[in-house]
Amino acid sequence: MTITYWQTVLEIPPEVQTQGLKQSATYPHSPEGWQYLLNYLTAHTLWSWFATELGGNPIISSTTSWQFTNGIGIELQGIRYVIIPDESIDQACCNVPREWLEIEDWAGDFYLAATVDIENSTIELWGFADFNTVKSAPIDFQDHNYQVEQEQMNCNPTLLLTQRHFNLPVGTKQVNPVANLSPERVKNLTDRLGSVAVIVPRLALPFADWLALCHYPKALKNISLLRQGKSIKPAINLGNWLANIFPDEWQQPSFAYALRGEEEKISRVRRLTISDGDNLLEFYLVLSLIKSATDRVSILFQLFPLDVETLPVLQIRITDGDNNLIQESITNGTESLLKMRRFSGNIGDEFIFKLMIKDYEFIEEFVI
Amino acid sequence: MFSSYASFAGETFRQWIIAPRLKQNFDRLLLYNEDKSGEVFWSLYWIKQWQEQQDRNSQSHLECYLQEACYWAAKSFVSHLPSNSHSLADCFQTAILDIGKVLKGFNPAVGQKLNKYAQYCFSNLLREHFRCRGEVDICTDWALLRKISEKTLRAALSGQSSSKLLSFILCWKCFKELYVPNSSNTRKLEAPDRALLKTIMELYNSRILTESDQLIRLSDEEMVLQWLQQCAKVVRKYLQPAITSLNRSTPDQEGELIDVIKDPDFDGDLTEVLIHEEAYDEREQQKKDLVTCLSKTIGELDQQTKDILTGYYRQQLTQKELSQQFNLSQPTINRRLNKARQTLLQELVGWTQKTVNISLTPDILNNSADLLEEWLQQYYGVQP
Repeated sequence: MTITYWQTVLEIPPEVQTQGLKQSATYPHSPEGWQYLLNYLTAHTLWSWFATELGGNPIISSTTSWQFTNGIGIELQGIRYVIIPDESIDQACCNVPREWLEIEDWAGDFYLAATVDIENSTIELWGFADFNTVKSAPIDFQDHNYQVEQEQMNCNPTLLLTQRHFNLPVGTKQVNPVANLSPERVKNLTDRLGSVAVIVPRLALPFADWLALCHYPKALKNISLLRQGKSIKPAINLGNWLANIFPDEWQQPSFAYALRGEEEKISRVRRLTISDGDNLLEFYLVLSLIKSATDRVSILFQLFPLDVETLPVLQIRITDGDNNLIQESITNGTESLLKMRRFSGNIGDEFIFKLMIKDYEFIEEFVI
Repeated sequence: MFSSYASFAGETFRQWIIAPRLKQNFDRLLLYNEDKSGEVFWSLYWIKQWQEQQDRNSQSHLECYLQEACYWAAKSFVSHLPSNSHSLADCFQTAILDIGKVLKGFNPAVGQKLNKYAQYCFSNLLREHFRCRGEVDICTDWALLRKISEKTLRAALSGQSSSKLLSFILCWKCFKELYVPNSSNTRKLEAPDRALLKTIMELYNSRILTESDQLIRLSDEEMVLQWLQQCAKVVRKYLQPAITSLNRSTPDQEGELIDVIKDPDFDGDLTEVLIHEEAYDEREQQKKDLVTCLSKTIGELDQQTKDILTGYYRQQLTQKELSQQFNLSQPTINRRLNKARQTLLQELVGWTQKTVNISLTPDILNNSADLLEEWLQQYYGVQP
């Protein structure tokens, strides 16, 4: 522990504050909007801080949880940081929701405590701790948080930067897998939490069920849609593609490279328009299917930039129906296209395609 | 030094008042340890006693010893407050009350001098205390309830029955979960309306079903309002304690002072103290060696950063005062200061790596930051 306290205060940029307020206003249930706002302001302010202080291209992850769970994740140079915003003035304790330690995809190497002062547009980072320190803190089973006392944290976040500057080894983290839920159970729980009669979704279920549900990225997205009074979009049925029936947004590619190759493929392209906060980015996402004699279907995703030479820094994750990782890829800003590895499945198998740029997530669910 | 207290007359230091029992105790101890002398040795001796036994006697001796460190921290702090807002005596009293926190955090093995360390801690504690107190002053009850941690609420509610305490805390959690402020004003919040009180009650009552059976059921909105108002009242009182007169009696005037000298043969116990004393000498030498290494790095910083460092460390200006002086935002000043410290820390760590061939760990980095901070304060000539 250090006694030296070098205060770290960051300014929330005005455009981030404006955007955050605009986006959080779309949540009709106001506590969720406020939670989203805290997470949004923290993610964008910290994104700039990491980019400036450590260089590289940080990636913000797990944005689908922003309205439900306090905290945001940022990944940079293979290290995952979880930042826990709070409005308390006394900085006595950092309450880390259990999700951030007990779901493998969410767990961080380091946890930072941040005091957000929305009125004065500042975020003060007042402490950090590694995974094992947070994991050894007592759990408040009422709110399902790890309560890390100030004394357990290193109260000089500048030292985290220095640790990274010298590439100090990062401790290993042991996260047990969460339980698997059947598709019916996921649907039932999603429908239940999708009702606004449930005041605090993350505390409305036995916590093990909530953790398992968080493991399915589409589930949180769907709960969010239902709570906003919107309908859930069904999975895209690729079986129909094999019978030449395609949804409107997936078009016949008009460019040559998607069809290159010796095998007989069914290829369709979808134009994606994404705002990364500063710019409007456009892509072609190409999905190709190759049916083999054994009834297995091979699947290939390719992503091309539109009107520019290279892709920005982005991450693609493809997971199976139980959210096990099939493959993932991160660009470094120099690639002219991103070709994912080909993978295969049987008729009826499900998978989820997720594209992440800064805090934007495009998620599409498919069934073969 | 280890048996007298500072006394104040109005705004200024008046005199040292000797606590007879502490003096008697210390004199007896000296009889058996004639060869052990010096401030560093005895401060390490008492801290070792305190950290092992947490007893009142060693705390009293340390409280005496750290009066001066506390005085300098309070004097510097009060100079940055608007005139007449708080007196030097108030600040001194506020800081010395937290001596337990200071003593708990001190690690004799790293070779820091206790009084320097304590002065730094007292300054931080005062800054933190008055920052909180400033917030408490401007927040309405409802804003205050949103801006406290559970730890503070628990401490403020101590004395309540367990069932009431648990019920109040859960009720407050439900309030905090559901009360959404206006983003442009999070400090002047109105009382929750009936509809919100009802939702808080429903959430609370739904949660007590699965929680401990000690929890009291909420029967109507009025009860929610009353509980929350009670919480706000105790929290405000807890965070704004009345500062009692400084010229209080010394702590050993009542009750029996336990004789700390159980055995005149201290050789075994004191070995560690002597080792820590050596660590202190080593650290002083290290700081001298750092002059060449770090003053060159400081020389290479841009002029404005050098001026910011001088303002912060020599003139003891706050970051707010620096932002006004340099016409930069406070976060910009903060960033410049931290960048400079980071550069110096990297230089220091690089130098240590070259000088002592040991692999870098987070603990070594923490110690290096402490060493750097001490060095910066000495380099810029901080009083005393």
